[in-house]
Amino acid sequence: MPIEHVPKPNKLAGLSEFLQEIADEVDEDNLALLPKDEQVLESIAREILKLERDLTLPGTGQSESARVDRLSQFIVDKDF
Amino acid sequence: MKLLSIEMSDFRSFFGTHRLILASADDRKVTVFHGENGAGKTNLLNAVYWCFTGKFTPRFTDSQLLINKESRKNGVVSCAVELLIAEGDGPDAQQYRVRRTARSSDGSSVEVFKLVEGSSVPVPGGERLLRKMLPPGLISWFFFDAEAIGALELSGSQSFKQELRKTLGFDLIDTLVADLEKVQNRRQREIANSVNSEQLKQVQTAIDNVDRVLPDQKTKLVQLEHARSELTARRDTVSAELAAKPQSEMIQRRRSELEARRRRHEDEKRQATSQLAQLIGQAAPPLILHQLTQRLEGRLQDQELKGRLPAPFSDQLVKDILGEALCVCGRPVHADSPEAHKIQDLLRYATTGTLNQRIGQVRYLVADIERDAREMPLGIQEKRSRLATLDTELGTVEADLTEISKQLASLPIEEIRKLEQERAELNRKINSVSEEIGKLSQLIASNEKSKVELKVRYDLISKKLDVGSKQKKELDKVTKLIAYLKKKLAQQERDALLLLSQELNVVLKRYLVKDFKAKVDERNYAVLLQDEDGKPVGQSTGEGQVLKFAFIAAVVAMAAKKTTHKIEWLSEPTVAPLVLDAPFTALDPVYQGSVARNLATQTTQLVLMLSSAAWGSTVSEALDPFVGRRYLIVSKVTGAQDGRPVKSLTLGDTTHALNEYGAQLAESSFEEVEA
Repeated sequence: MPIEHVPKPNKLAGLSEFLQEIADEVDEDNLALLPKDEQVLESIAREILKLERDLTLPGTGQSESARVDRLSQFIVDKDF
Repeated sequence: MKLLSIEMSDFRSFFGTHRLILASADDRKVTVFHGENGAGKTNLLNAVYWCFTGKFTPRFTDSQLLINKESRKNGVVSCAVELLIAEGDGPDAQQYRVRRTARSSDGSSVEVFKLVEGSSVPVPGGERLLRKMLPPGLISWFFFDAEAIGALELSGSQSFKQELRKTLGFDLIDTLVADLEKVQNRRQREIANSVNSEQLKQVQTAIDNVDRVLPDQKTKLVQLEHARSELTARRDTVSAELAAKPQSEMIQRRRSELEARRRRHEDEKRQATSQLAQLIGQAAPPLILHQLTQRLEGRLQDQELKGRLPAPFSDQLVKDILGEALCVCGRPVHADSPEAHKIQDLLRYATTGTLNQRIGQVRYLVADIERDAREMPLGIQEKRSRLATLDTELGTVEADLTEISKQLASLPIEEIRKLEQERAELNRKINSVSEEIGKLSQLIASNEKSKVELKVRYDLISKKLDVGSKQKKELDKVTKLIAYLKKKLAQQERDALLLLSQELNVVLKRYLVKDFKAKVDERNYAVLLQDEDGKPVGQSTGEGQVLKFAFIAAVVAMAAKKTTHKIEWLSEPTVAPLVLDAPFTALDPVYQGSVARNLATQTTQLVLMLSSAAWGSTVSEALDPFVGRRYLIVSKVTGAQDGRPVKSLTLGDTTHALNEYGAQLAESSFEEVEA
């Protein structure tokens, strides 16, 4: 009976996702250790940093004034 | 990202098409190109650099002449470089072809293709993808012309700091903070208009004015620093060319020695000047106070004599006076007499421990001031005299250097005269650019100071005005967020620089036999090397050169986040091959092996271009276990040998010729040999 070729599972494929999950959990734990006021600021700072990253990605073509408008609106929408 | 192959068509010294496959396996990741001076090692580095960026390294000359000379004679009107690269690891890796073409008629263009099941699919906006894979700020670290390593300034210029910030991933937060300051300005303007305060409007206009000019001034400063480093690199190349000519070799060597001495003297002069300023600052208070302390000392003695101060006294003596009712001066001191009461009173106040301690402290302080006032002028005099000696020595060195320039300019060889003229012109330009840099740096510092002062003024004025609570809240939110981001940024910056120092010291420990330490200055990112006693070690020394290699290796490791510590908030890691032209010629032979081994272990892929002189047994032993591919760059000339030497390289038991005479074409070609 011919042996059917079964591809080996790629152990590395899920590893990076797993490491990312751990890193996120560590981030959450670290955030919880901060005083309440700082927790709010820290989480808003992370959000706005992600927004800036999206706005400045190569190819997004966002002008400086468009970025300033978007950031300004982001802050207005947040209560802190 | 890994570089899988390079294909060059009619590019510079390479006639026709050459395809070079590079080593990229994890255990055999080093590709070595062996070639003599002029064979085309720098052309090969620039083929990769140009393909990625459309630009060249500073030492690359005649960049408008990209098409091979022989090919041009045959009617070829374009040249091209194509790189095959893999982005990502293992089975998920995606391959891309990057092809840049230069035409004699209309400049250069780049195309990027994604390889999908063997087919090439064009990537729209391919240059953006390249910038994402290897950000422009990092390219010069990864594709490095190590022959110009001497010109690598680690002394903390604005452009160096900016590039390093990009490398460490701070540019995203920097841009965010700059954008948020614009949001803040917008809110402040809105408030100034709504409360209709002329004073507030004026301050805000002044802030806007500073904000408008500062970015341009900073950009200009970076441009000037780049211009200076390019001019310096070119001057070093001209100096190397002068040193390579038999007629000027000796004079140029003497000049290099004198220039090294001048650098040492200038370094010492800078240090001595700063120490002198410090000494004068320290000496001023004792010298001023000296007049007072002399009077104070006199007054203390006077008061002691008058019995108004608790002078040190013998308990026994006082007991004897009171017991015998007779003072040492012969006057009677009867019990209950005013004299006896006076002594009792004095003792009550004078003998308290605290008062005695205070008097003692004052006396010590006075003695210290007196000593400093005596000794510090001597120290100042000593520094001044050292500075005068240094000035005399610098004057002598300058005179000798002028004489050398005259000697070189008067040599009856046209080529040398031209090189010498070019060198003098380059020096003139370097001095002029340096002067401009100095002025602009001062202007930037003054504008930044004004901005801080204006912001404080804005706050003070606005506090006295009736600002709407909603507007005030929105401005407070932005201000609070900026302050938080700046605090985080400062903390992360400290962490990252500490980590960089640690990485550097790990590398230095592997490299150096001496116990030297590197430190990165937080203010300007200057990298300092210190000896066992904490004294600075010059960057032109053998160890200073090693520091520069250690720095490149540490930066590449940091960019790839191949570090043991996590630094939050930094941008994505950059993993790319390290491509180095002529890395070891600038190094002291004692360090070459350890530097080579470290570069191989610390990078994901390494491409080295080496002359036979740089391929000694220590480098060979260090690198051989990692070498996956090896090529010779053979330089061919059409003329007869006519007594000229054949350069060779021995690898194992085989000796290979690195140049040929009597060839059909003047070109450089590649020959793959066993790794």
